[in-house]
Amino acid sequence: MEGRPWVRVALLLIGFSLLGIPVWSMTREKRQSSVIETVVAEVSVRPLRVTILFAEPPLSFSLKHLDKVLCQGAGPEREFSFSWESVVPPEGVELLLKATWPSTAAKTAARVEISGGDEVLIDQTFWSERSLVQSVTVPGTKPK
Amino acid sequence: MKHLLVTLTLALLSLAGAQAELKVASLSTITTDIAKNVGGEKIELFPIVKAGVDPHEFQPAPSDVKKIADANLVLFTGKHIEGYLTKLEETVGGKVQFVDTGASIKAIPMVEEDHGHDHDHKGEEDPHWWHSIKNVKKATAVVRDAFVKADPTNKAVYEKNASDYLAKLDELQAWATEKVAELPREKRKLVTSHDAFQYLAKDYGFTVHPVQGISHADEPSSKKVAELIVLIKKQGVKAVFAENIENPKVLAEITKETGAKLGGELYADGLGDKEATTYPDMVRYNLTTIVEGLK
Repeated sequence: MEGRPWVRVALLLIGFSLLGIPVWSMTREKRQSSVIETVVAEVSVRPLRVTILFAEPPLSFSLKHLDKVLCQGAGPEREFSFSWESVVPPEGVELLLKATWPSTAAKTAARVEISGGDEVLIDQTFWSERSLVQSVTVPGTKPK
Repeated sequence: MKHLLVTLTLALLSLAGAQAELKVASLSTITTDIAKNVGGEKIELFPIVKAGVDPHEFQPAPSDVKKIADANLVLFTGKHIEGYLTKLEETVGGKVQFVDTGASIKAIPMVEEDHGHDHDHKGEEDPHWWHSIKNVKKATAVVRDAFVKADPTNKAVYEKNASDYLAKLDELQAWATEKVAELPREKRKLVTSHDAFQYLAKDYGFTVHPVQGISHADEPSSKKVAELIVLIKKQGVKAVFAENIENPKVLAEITKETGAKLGGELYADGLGDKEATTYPDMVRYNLTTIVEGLK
């Protein structure tokens, strides 16, 4: 065997290939795990509690996420509350609040409070006269 | 005969009354639109920079300078986009009052980008403030106050016109909020030709990735284009946007490399002569193009 160079070359090639497998495997595993981490950060579902409080009873109101109506109604109630579970990507989730009041109403206000567990995520008051169109952004969790 | 004289006198008086007392020159299509709405028939308007003209590159012709010298007021958007302004003020002397409609608007500082030439824009302000409706409302108030000061006899008209226009801008803002809400926040990544949409991005939660710098003269470096291609692929950006006053050659190359589509042409530097002949039309056109392109 020692006298055959092609056998020695073949053995060397096999040896290098075998050494390469663990290196490739380690690199491959590392890449996969980073992808999984990103995906987990993007698809985490968060339970949220949403409360909308109006200073004056609205003629009508709605709260939407994209084309889905999460809550809608009208006076004489002033407070509306509901639970909602949502995927919150790092960029956040934007909700659209629309409300109208009678033409006789003076300047009035709507307050939106959104909490996730014990944490208050949004507590904002919006002032308006007869109608309000306002976006409200639930902040996202930045990937670690 | 007596009857004819009375009629002629009345006709002459009526003509004199109809003639605008305030002459206004405008160095931006945005201030032209504001002036039209606030001044109405009470002003004579000279739009110096026309629709579709690049204000970064514009230089007034002698005939423009003559019109400006004849005006009482000159409206401009400021933040150094009118590079010829100092020379123009020196030329027309102190007879004309220059009104900086962007002076009270808080500027967004320019982001320093690698755009392939040796000067830098450090410390400069982004001049494209009209892409925020809130800023145009502020500029409308500046124009109204300038008109009232220069022509107090028509104060009531200017105030009524400005109030009506501000109400239109409120409606436009409500429409814009609702339109942008159709697009998930994670898709609000705006790849454009030049860096003109930072004010829009700030209002509606977009991240802007311009190919060029703040001006059309800023050539993109090959490194910058390569970085953008990686970013578009990595973040799955669906569309990139060209502008109405330039050749989208680099963008076409980017779409070829990334598979992103050309989402349409945006009006970045002012009004145009097709879909965006008024400011509200420009906002509606730009936002509809962006939202539908990125969905």
